[in-house]
Amino acid sequence: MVSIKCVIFGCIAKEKGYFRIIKILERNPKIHLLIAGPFLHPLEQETLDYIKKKEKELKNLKVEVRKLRDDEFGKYIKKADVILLPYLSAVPASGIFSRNLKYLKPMITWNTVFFKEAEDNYGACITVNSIDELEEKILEVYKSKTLREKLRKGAKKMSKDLSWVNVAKKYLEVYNAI
Amino acid sequence: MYTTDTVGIKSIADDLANAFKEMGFDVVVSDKLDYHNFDVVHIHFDYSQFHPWGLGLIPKLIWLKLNKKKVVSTIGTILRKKDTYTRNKLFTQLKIMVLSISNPLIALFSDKVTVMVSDMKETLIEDYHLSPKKVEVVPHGVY
Repeated sequence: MVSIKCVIFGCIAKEKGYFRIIKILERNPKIHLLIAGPFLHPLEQETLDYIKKKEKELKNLKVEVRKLRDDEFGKYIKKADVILLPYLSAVPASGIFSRNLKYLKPMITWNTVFFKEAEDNYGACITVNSIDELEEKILEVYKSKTLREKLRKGAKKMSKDLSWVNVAKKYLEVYNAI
Repeated sequence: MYTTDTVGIKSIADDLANAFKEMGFDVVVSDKLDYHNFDVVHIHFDYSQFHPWGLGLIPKLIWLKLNKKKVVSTIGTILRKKDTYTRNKLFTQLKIMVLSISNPLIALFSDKVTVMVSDMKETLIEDYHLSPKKVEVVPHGVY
């Protein structure tokens, strides 16, 4: 059976929207998910308990609660077919998203402001509005080489435009305007 | 660059500082406000690092202003009032109330406030009544 490898990176938090993809895992065994990231905030204990409980129940869910080294992050991302960011609210500037960009892997995100801008301005990700649409897009990205290539080009363009040196130049304009 | 964070926001400050160094600028990232030799102090923060919800930053900003420093404050995350949340409704109301005080004060004692997404700028203007001239959008860099 085909298995589509998805991953959610970043510190364990309710905001990551795990339940959205877990609902898909429960009904679609073809889709596999790795959740990898550190547990930093005690307020997120409930979230950690939830994903750990689901890991025991589902064969297609794996949870690694620890901070990944850079080389591990790269290794995991290369193995994945799709990176997921089904966040619950308007995460303003996901560091994980920016970190993922350089690997040019397809990213499917929830339709929040920051991700929508990345989709509209660069075509660097696909945004979705529902759990059904999330499942549909995971399958579509997996099947369509053309779509993956389009996302790759978008990610490349965004990475170039928003290099740290270019961002520093923008801050320099702010400093000079004071 | 001043940050008390140890993970996400710290890495933004580090990456930005490295870019400035590449461009030939003298820049340091520190968790201490010791900037006598520098012209601009750029603070990277989230409200949770200066409790209660940003008010803890105000004395530091006043101190910097008294020392005649140019100050840029970069806010990591600011949500619309309607999207703001905490562990319960009472705390959420309290947080919104405090943010309504801390955000204008942060703007008052900073020369510029920057955010990484245009919607956050609109939030500061529409929900917290900051002057549009005070707020700039500078996107997150790509690693």
